[in-house]
Amino acid sequence: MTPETALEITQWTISEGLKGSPETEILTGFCERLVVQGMPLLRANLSQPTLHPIIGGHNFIWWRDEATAVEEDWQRSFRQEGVQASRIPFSYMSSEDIWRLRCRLGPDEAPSEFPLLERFRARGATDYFALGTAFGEAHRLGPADRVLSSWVSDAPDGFDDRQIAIIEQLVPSLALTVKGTSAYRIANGVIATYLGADAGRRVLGGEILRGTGETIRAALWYCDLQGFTKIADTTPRDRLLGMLDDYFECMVTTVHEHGGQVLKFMGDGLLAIFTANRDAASCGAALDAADLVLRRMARLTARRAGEGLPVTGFRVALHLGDVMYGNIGARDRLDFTVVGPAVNEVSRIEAMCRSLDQNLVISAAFAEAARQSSDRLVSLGRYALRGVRRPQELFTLFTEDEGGED
Amino acid sequence: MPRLDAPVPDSALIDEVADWLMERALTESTVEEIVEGCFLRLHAAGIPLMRAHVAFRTLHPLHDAVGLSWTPGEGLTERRFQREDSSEQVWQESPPQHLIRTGTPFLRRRLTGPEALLDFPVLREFRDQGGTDYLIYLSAFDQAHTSGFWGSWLAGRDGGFSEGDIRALRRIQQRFAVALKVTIKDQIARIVVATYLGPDAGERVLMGQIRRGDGETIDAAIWMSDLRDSTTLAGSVPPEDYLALLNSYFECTAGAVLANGGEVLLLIGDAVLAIFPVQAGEEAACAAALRAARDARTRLAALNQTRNAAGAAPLALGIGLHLGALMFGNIGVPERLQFTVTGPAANEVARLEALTKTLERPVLASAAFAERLPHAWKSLGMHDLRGVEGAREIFAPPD
Repeated sequence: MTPETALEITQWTISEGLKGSPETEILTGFCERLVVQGMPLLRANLSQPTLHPIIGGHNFIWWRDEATAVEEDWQRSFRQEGVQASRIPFSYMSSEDIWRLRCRLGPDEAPSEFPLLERFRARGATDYFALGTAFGEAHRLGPADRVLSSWVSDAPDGFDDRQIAIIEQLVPSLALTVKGTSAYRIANGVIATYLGADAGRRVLGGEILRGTGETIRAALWYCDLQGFTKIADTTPRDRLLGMLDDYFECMVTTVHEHGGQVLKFMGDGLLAIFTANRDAASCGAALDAADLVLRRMARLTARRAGEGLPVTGFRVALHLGDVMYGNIGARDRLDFTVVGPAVNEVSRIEAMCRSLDQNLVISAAFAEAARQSSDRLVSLGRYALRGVRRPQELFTLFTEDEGGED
Repeated sequence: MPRLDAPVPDSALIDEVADWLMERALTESTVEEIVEGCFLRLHAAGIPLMRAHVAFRTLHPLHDAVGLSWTPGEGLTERRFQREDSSEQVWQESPPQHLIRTGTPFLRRRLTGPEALLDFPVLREFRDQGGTDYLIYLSAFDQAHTSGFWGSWLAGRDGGFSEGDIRALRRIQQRFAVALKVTIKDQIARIVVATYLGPDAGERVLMGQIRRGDGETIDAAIWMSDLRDSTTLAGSVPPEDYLALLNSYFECTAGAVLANGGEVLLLIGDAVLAIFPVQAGEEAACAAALRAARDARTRLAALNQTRNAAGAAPLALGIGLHLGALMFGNIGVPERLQFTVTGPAANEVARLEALTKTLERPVLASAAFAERLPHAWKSLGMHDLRGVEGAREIFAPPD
């Protein structure tokens, strides 16, 4: 390969990255160009650790006999190849701080210590070359501190020195190109994890000025654990967190299943919203979710009690109103959430659960909109809520197996 | 140094700039360092730069865009732009605005000689400063052109940019773009995370503490404040006005915390939960929290004066101050987390704050907090805090 060709491949890679082409397309084009230039390339993998609550990293894998490269998150890759995470070359390189690894896989070579490479050998591989490209400190985002690439040959004598040199010369621009995409992907993931998917999208779409936001109509859900504070004082930290984990899992899963968005975790409770085109739809979804979560929480509590684990009660309030959905805060410290009288009111309504001895209390506005969804709404009477001008009629859901069970 | 009879930039040096950009893109820390380094090297390679400029949109709560200008004499200067600046006439009549509006990727203007065309006001200024040739380009970061930057080059040499200069600049442009893209995107990730999680929690998350349960036990002075009668207030003004009211209220409370070294963890409705981690001793942490409390009251008094003048009702706050051990980490479910504090001390400070209404005091402190500061605290006796075992002695700060 001439220097001009190498430059052309680099230029092409960089402009693809600037155009925003997906990593799979870039890797495919890159490998095909190498093959055209005579590189005996059987497989290539561009691997990036990421910063994400669940995903450890992404692989972009190209095989010569496939039309395009594919993207896989690490867990899936391990399952596909049937190998353990700790026993792949990249893990070895990371833990031993090695940035360059060469494994000959020819018929005369001893079996590799890496089961993965033996699988490649079975597919005709004769040579394996892996490179790590490190990021400077300011470019590291948690464990996303490098790009790893591996190159597999099936030529009789593997890669020659010139070919290795070409790979080493061209990899940095490839690494740089995918890094540009990955920073945005990480930001997306982190922000979605901490703000929720919708709020996250809005922020990354530009809504980051304090005061930006819009008035929306939403069903509001406010729930918490009854008796948590008492238990918190006397329960060891790990068991307390384990309890929170179990209960939050139940609340959040149910909310998400019904199209709701968790806006905030507060101590032992959370605030969520349900939005839809019509009030009847958003309230219907929230009501179904509340109905289900009460049953699930009861089952969870029974299971935990049976295992001798600490348990609490659970209360949820539902309301409907106009809220401002946007950025609040001070200068450069913001929260993307909902504010407005309806938010304060749902918290007051939830506080009524205790005195009404109900674990689901619903406002009149919500009940009105949800009327079609349920014939089980019953009135609890009219009450004065602190700070709310007019007395409010409150409702709950009548369940047949109520009465006698605590 | 370029020879005057054959103004061609040194090709080897241009190659070096290209290589330097690629290498720095992964290791260099800031946009400023990449921009300044690039412009300096281009100038040294013989490109007759009198001024070089680059500007890009960012994602930051306080400013919308950043402009970086470089001259051989003064080096790099930075300017930050707010959203409102884009309606100014100067911007509306500028070459970059023209490129953006018409989707033109590139423009060249001779500023002197028979081919001179000074069809933008700023070009006349450049000419008056000695500029002879002006190039401006748009560079998108992705297909949809949702982000990117624009840059301009101003020549100060008689005859302007040679063909060789322009070829060299075009060669560099791509690498410059990818280096900027990577650095700007990284910077945006950091800014957004710090904005919504706070700098400390944000830093921890970006270092990898992103799994549920990740966190640690810390000692901290703890602050909980809220707005009195917020429900009534919320019900008496339209939602947009309530948002503005809340934001100016947060300036007083969260703003005071931030100004005095605290970390704002959570904004819950109108309540602020904040911590002052114990780093240089418990007394220092409590002193900072108390200073923040006084600062908040001063700010609120000023805000209320403004409100009074506008005929609006004054706002009142309640602040609870405590000291204790907290679990500082991620709670939630694996895919939906919050970086916050949990533990008995967090509950206590909330109850303490609630007591400010009952005892009609703006600021209350626990014994644990008051004991750390050698002030003349006023004891308000023993009180029950809901959900907390045993009555606690409550203190008010000396006024």
